[in-house]
Formats: sequence, structure tokens, C-alpha cells
Amino acid sequence: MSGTATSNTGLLGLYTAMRRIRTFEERVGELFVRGESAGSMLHLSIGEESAAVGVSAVMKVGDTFTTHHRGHGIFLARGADPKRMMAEIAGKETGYCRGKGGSMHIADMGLGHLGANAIVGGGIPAVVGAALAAKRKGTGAVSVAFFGDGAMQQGILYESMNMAALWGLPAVFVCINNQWGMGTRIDQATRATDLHARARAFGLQGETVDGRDVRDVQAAAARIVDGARAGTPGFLAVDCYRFFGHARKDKSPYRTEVEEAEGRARDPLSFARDALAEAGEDPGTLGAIDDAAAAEMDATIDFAIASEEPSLGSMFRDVFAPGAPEPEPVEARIDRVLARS
Amino acid sequence: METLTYREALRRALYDAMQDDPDVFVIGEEVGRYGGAYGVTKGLIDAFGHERLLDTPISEPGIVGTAVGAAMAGMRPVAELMYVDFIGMTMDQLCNQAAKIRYMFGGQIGVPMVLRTQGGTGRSAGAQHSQSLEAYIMHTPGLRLAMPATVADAYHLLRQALRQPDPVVFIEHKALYAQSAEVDLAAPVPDWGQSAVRRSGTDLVIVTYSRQLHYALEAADALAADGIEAAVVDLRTLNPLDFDTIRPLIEASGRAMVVSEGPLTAGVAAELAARIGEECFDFLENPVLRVAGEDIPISVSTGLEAGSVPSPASIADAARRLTA
Amino acid sequence: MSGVLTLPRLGETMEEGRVVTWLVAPGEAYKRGDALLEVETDKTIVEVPALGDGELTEILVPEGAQVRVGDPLARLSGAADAAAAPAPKPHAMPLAPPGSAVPLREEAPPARAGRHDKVRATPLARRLARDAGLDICDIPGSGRRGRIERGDVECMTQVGESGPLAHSLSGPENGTPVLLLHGFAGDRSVWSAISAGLVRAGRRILAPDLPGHGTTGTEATIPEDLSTGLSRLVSDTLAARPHVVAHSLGAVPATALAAAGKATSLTLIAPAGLGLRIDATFVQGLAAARLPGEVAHLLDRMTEAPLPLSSDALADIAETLSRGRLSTLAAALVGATGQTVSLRAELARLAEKIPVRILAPHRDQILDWADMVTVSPRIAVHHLPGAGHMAAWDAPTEVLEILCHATES
Repeated sequence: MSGTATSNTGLLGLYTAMRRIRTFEERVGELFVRGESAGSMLHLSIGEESAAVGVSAVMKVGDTFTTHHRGHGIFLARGADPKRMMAEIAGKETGYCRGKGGSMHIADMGLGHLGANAIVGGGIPAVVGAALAAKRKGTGAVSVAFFGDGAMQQGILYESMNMAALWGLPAVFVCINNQWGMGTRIDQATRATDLHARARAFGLQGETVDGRDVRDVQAAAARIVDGARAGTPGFLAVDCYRFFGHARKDKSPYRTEVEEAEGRARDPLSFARDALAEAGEDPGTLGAIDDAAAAEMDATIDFAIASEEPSLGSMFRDVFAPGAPEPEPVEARIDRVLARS
Repeated sequence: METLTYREALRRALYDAMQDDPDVFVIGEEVGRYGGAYGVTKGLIDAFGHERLLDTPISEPGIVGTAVGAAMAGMRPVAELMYVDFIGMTMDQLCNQAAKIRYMFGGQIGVPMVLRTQGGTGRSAGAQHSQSLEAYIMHTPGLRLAMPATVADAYHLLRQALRQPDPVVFIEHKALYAQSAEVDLAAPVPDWGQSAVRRSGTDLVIVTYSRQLHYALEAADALAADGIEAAVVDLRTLNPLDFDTIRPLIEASGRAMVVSEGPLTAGVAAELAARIGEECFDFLENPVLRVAGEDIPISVSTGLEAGSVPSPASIADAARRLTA
Repeated sequence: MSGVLTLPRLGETMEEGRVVTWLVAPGEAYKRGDALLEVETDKTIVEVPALGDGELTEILVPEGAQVRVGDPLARLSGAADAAAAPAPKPHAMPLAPPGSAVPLREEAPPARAGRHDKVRATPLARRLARDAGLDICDIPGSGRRGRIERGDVECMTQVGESGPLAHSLSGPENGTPVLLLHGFAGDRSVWSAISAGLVRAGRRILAPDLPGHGTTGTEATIPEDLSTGLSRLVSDTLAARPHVVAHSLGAVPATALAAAGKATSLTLIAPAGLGLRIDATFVQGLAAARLPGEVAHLLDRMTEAPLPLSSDALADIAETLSRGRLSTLAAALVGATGQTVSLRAELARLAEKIPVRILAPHRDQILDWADMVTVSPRIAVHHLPGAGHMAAWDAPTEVLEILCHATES
């Protein structure tokens, strides 16, 4: 089932998208090492780029989605500005969420990103609601939940898939199965490792695809997403491998070097690059793509570092809608109380 | 003027809101064909169809999570949680998602949903169906919290809740559904976030909400017979919390009691008492009393159940001792 | 009960006490007034005196044991009724300490430093005192456990609008009205404890500073001056004719008011004007006193127990008295042979029209209690065998009970 639907030009585009993600995340790692990252919890999706790019490639403008704590790649694939992403990860005012969300709570309504989520499975039911709204309003949009294999063991996934199937909603559930939920391998978390079978049991269209070839992912995603758009919600598991630890500081002592070497050998970027070379793509073109990604992502770090910190006063903003009184700062309250007594 | 029950007033509010706004829909367990476990949504499915009275599986987190997503996508969901006791099931969707989305995402979007539920004692429903868990909600920044005590407020607070740009948890009291009153729904009501002084009095101020309002009023009548005049304030919403109405009353009387059905410790009454202590310190003649539920689970035995929460007699007794 | 000594309530808030020392051994005889044992209350250590002659037959409670009020302490023989006299001063405000705005607290701290730490006062009372420039320590508390409340502060600060007499009003507006008149060198603050008790019993209380006293500006140079403005104050502030309660010299304006038909009843505590005999040096001394030591010796005569005043408090009283405001009045009150005012005939006449009561403290060193019991058979006399001139100091519970009864509508 190699990417028959994708031309060479198409693969080049997919490769470019994946390269931008990988370079971005490498720079995120650098930001952390340089002490400029606002969050101590940086979860990199290096090795999982094909899932983000392959599924995003079949989504349309107006579609909505939620992601998990390892969702930088998905957002970039859906068109995010990497500068604003990096600024958000650095906790700066110029970030997508003005420094309040960070790596795990990034969102952009303009791009249909209903939010990254730091609760495993937490963002899944929102796509049911969004799909419900899309169906009621007749927008033709689908809503896609991206999550990891850890969420496969969360009850909320099954509530959500059940309701989506029950009501025939344009909802898609994408499990990026990087084999590891933090330090627990999928086969240490469940005996039912045939993940798509669970979705089928609820009446969803379900598939599992090997993430090594992004064209395969794209093709499978097309079937699932198109089916959802037509009223049959779907599930797609993308098999891949988490190259690094759970978070930036995690050196993965719980898994063997042999396993890591085997997993990294399934690198979707190398696979795509090899396929392009095999198909006669000019190495200079590929090098130029890589260089452009490096230059673009270097600039994101400069942008993030140069950006302003949010003002302290913004702390009390956006708890509620504009116009509502902001919460009274504790210090102001103390001042007021003591001034009266 | 017309005579309505608390339940009918809620239904009327839903009906009117759904008439006015096609984006309003009800989602929850047994809300459609069954008409709601307490009959609040009875008959609405005939008027609006099953797409707007969306019966769900028994999936509380999924219900709330779906409402969150629908609200973000431009709908005005009214999610119904059959009992507030089930709110623990939904805490992630409610407190980690709905409550924080506007803030985490830098103000890009709000979650204009209403979570209707009911709580409290009075039906011998036992430990898992009788709680007063409003403090959980009040403790979470980003959530609004309304608790209607009167028939008129059952209507107006729900209508007001459905106009809020942020998530509102709307907790009804199961013992009030059958209460009826003559109301003029066209008459003006306090704004959203305003408390109501339900009784005037200069000897002490009783601050309360939900069913305990009626108990407090009953207690106040008994106190009046003893020559003690208690003011009774119905908070109506716990978030926003209207302290401006309470402050001058307490400053005038020097005595305050907070009455809440929820458990005493770290409860709504504790928060109110702390605020009164801070803000009215120099006006207090007595410690601020918390009259609240006991720190115990609710029993199914009617005697134990009633004994677990404040009653008109216990409120009046505390007030007498406070003013002695 | 006969033959059993029980623990008396030795203060308004006392619920229990600890037996410290037995001062009389089993088999030992004692005379009326002898101290039988020492009891430690939450406030202090006090002696429990015998009310009559007798013999202690058996000790029921050992030293060191905790006892609740009313519990048996010992068996007695020869004692008709073994209840002991409530000897000690209550924490609550006594009836008539000379000098206004003076605290009479049991635990008088030795120095000004740290005084505020020990004062129980409501936040509202503290603020009102602060706003009025008063030291919270100088305000007697009438609330629970002697707590200083709003009314106590207002007692010190409020000046009535309806006339020249400073006064305070408290209690429910529809309560039975009671007028409280203080004695020589006192002011309305002396009524705090009694007033609070009466308010709790539903009374409406009016307590003025009489002319020449407290914060009232008008002076009194002759006894009749003490009535100036009183009648008008009563009609301006009270809805009905009050029950009139007076201590000592307050009996003079009280009787005048009653004679004018403006009293529902008259209750006099250790009243003046009933006989020649008076401790003239007390009256003249207070009018002339300048130094705290003099004041201490004089005030000591008003009570049976040790004087519960700190040196600060005594200094404050001395400072007030040294203004000399009372000297002319004092001279007019005491002539060459004794008291110059006689109320006996007027009281006898009044007793035919309204209820008149007299509280006669047998250990009064200022006036003679024997003079108080012979005015008229129509006057009810309450004997307070263990109490001195400041009967409400020495027998607070009894005095309050009698006043509650006397002022029932």
C-alpha cells in the first residue's frame, strides 16, 4: 500500500513538512538547554512526524482538532507559525497564548486548533462536541482528536468514540502509537494491542498504519477522514517510535539500546528522504529544504528570546470574558483589608 | 402573575432560551424521551426534537467534554448532570478543560456552556445522591456558579446563565423542584451576580443560598417572635460573589452567620466567614458563625439525613446564642 | 441541703473551681464570716466565708480537686443553710466605683506594658474606642467573659441629644424601661454589668451621668441639683414611665422623680438619706483626694474583698477626682452631725403608691444598713448579709436577680 496516491512532488512536500517539524523540535530542545524555555515539561515528537503530517495533509481549512502533550508537530503541520509557537514555549507575550499556555496548552482558533492538552485523553471529547456542532450547523467540517497510546487506556476515549458513533458525527480519533506511555510500553499497559479493533467494536471505521512511510499514513488518513466527513466516524492508529525520552530530561533508562536502535531505524524522515533519492530527486533540493528549515527554526529561537515577557498585570486577565471584573490580587486584597482595619 | 413550580420555571427558561437561540441545546442522560430524572426537561423533546434534547449514554465525562467542544465550536450547550454527586466523574472536563481554556489559550476563546445539575438532601437519596458540592466548583477559578433558591430565580438565573460567555455550573436543589410560587416573570430581577436581601433586620445578618434560604427565613420568623430581627441574604450566585450587598448589612448589625448545606470544613461558609472576618473585622461584635452541614456523609435514614444539615431550628438556635 | 456546703458561684461566668486549701479542719468550729476554704476560679483565688456559726464535720472534696458550681464541698453542723456568701468581685463591672471611666478588672495587670494583650474586646468595640481616642483598657466590659462590647464603649462616649445630661440607651426599644442612677462620685459606666444583664432580660435601659458627674457638663452644688434635667431626659427618651433603680446618693434624684409621678417602681441599693450616720471622711475624702494612695484607702471601704484596682486605675481615678468638681456637693451632703438629706418621709409616702424596694448590704461601711430597713412596712427590704456598700460588687448575681424581678412589667 505504498503511497500510490502521492506523486513525487507530494512526497517532497510531506518531507518538507516533516523536516520543519523535526528541526523545530530540535530547536525546542536547544531552547531548553539554553534555559530559555518557560516549561520544564517539553515532550518532543521526534520520530512521529509522519502521523502529524500524514493526517494533516488530508484535513481541510475549517476542520478542527485537539492534540495532546506531544503535539508541536501536528500544530506545525496544520499551519502554525513556528515563531509564535517557540515564543509560547518560551512563555512570551508574542506566543499563541501570550505565555500562559506553553508547550502543552497551545491553541489557535484561527487554525481550528481547539487546544493541546496536558491531561492524557483530556482533549478527546471536545472533538465530539465540535463534530456535533459541525453536523448541526452543516459546515462539512471534521474534528480530529490526536492522542498517544497512553490515552488508549483512558475511559474518556471510549465514551467519546461511542457517542461519535452513536450520533454519526464527523469525528476522527488518531492514536499516535509511539509504543511508550511515559515509561510503560504499550504491551505493559494492555493485552489488547490491536488498537483499531477497539474502535471497530464501537462501530467506528478503524485502521492501523505503519508510520514509517508518510504516504501510507496519508492514504489511511484519507480513508478515515473522508469517511468521517461522510458521517462514519473513524479511528486511525499510527505505529511509530518515540526517539527520545518521555520529556526532555528523561534518558529512557527503562528501555534497551537495542530497542531504541531498532525504533530509530524506522525514522519516517530517513525513509522519505531515501524514497525521494531513489525516485531521482536532486540531493541539492533536499539539502536546500533542510537548510531552509534550519534557518527558519533558528530564527524562531531568536524571536522567542527577543520577545517580551508578559506583563505581571496580565496575570489576572482572561480568567473570565473581557468586561467581567478581574480577580482581585491577593496583595491588593491584603492592602485593602489592612487599610480598613 | 402565574403560579409555577421551581421545576416548571426551569423548564420555561430552557424553552424560552431554545426558542430565542437555535444554538442552545440540551445534552445529558435521560433529558429527552424520559424528560429528565427530576422531570425538568419533560415535554421539551416534543417542541424541539431529539437533536436539541440529546439523550446520551451514561458517560458523564463524555457529556461534559462534548459540551466543552460544542461550546468552543459556537453552540450553547446545556449539559445536564443528573446528580451533582457525579461531578467527580467530570472534574477533568469541568475543571481542567472548561474552566481553564480561556486562560490557558490567552483569551482566544471561551466556553459558554451551562452545566445544570442538582444536589442537596431531602429525598433520602443516600450518601452518593445527596451531597452539596458547590465548594468544589467555587474553588476552581474560571467557573461561574449559580444556585437558585426561588421559583423566580430558577427561571431568571438560568436565562442569565445562558447569556454568560463563560462556563456556568447551575446547581438546583432537589427538595425545591415541587415548590410553587406566584411569579411575574416579567418583573425585574437582580442582575447576574447580584445577591438579594430577602429579609431586613438589624440584629444579625444571615448569609445563605439555595434551600437554606427558606430555612433561614423560617428561622428569622421564629427569631422575630423573640424580638431578634435577622436580615437574610440570598447569594444567588456564588461566582460572581456579591460581597458589596453583604458588607453594609454586617457593618450595621455587627453580627453575621453563614448558612450552607455543604460540609463545614473548607466549605462555602468557611470562605464567606473568612471574607467577613477580613472585610468587616472592625464592625464585628461576635465571631462569624458557620452553620453548615456536618463533616459526615449523608445517610439514607431520614432522621440522620435531616440531622446532617442545618434546619430552621438549628439556624434559629445559633442565632439566638449569637445575639444573646 | 441543710448541713452541706456547696460550691457557690463566685462570679457571673464561673462554672467550676478548684479547691486550693481547706482553712477549717474537720471537727473545727467556725464563726460567721470565717473563711472556710480557698477556691481557685478561672479568674483568681477566693475565700469562701461561712454564713453562720457552726462546725465542719466532714470534708467531701480534697485539696486540688476540681468542682462544679453547686457540688457539695463539706458537711456542716449548726448551719441552718450552708450556702456560702458570694464574696469575690466578679469580673463584670461593679455597681458604683467612684470616678468615671475607670476599669475594675480582677486581673489588674501590674504595668501598662502589655495591657492590651489581655483585654477581651470585640473588634467593633476596639474600633469605636480607637475612634473616640479611648484606651480600650480603660473601658469596663459587660459582655461574655467580661468582653468589652459596643455598648460599653458607647457608655463612655455617647452624649444624649435631648438635654444636658450625658446618657446611654440600650436594649430593645419596646422593652420595659428602666432608669439607672449612679451614686456619689460615680457615673453611668458603673452600671455596665447590671445594664447588660437587664438588657438580656429584655429591658430598655437609660443610664445618665448625673449633674456634676461623668461627661455631663452641668454642675451639682446642692443635692437638689442632681435632679436637673432628669425628668425631661426621661420623657424625651423613654416610651413609658420607667422603673427607677438607684445606688447610694442616686436615691436623692430617684426619689424626687418618683415623687413627681414619673416612676413605675423604685428600687434603692444602699440608699443615702435614710439616717444621720455616714462615713463623712469617705465623702469628704473622695471630694478632696489627690493621690492614688488616698483613693485606694477610701475605695477599700466600699467592698469586703481586696480592692481589685491596678495602680494605673487608681491613678486615673485620683486624676479625675483631683479636679475638685465634687467638693461643694460633698460639703452640702454632710453636715456637722451627719447626712443633711432625709428621704424617709417621701419614701414612706411613695410606698403607698408604687412598689418601693431597698437592698440593704449588711457590711456597708459608708452608710448604716440598720437605717435602711426601718423606713416603712410597705417597703420591701432585701438583705445582703455578705455585701458591702458596693453591693453589686459583692453580690452581683443576687443584685441582678432582684433587679430583674423588680423591673418586670
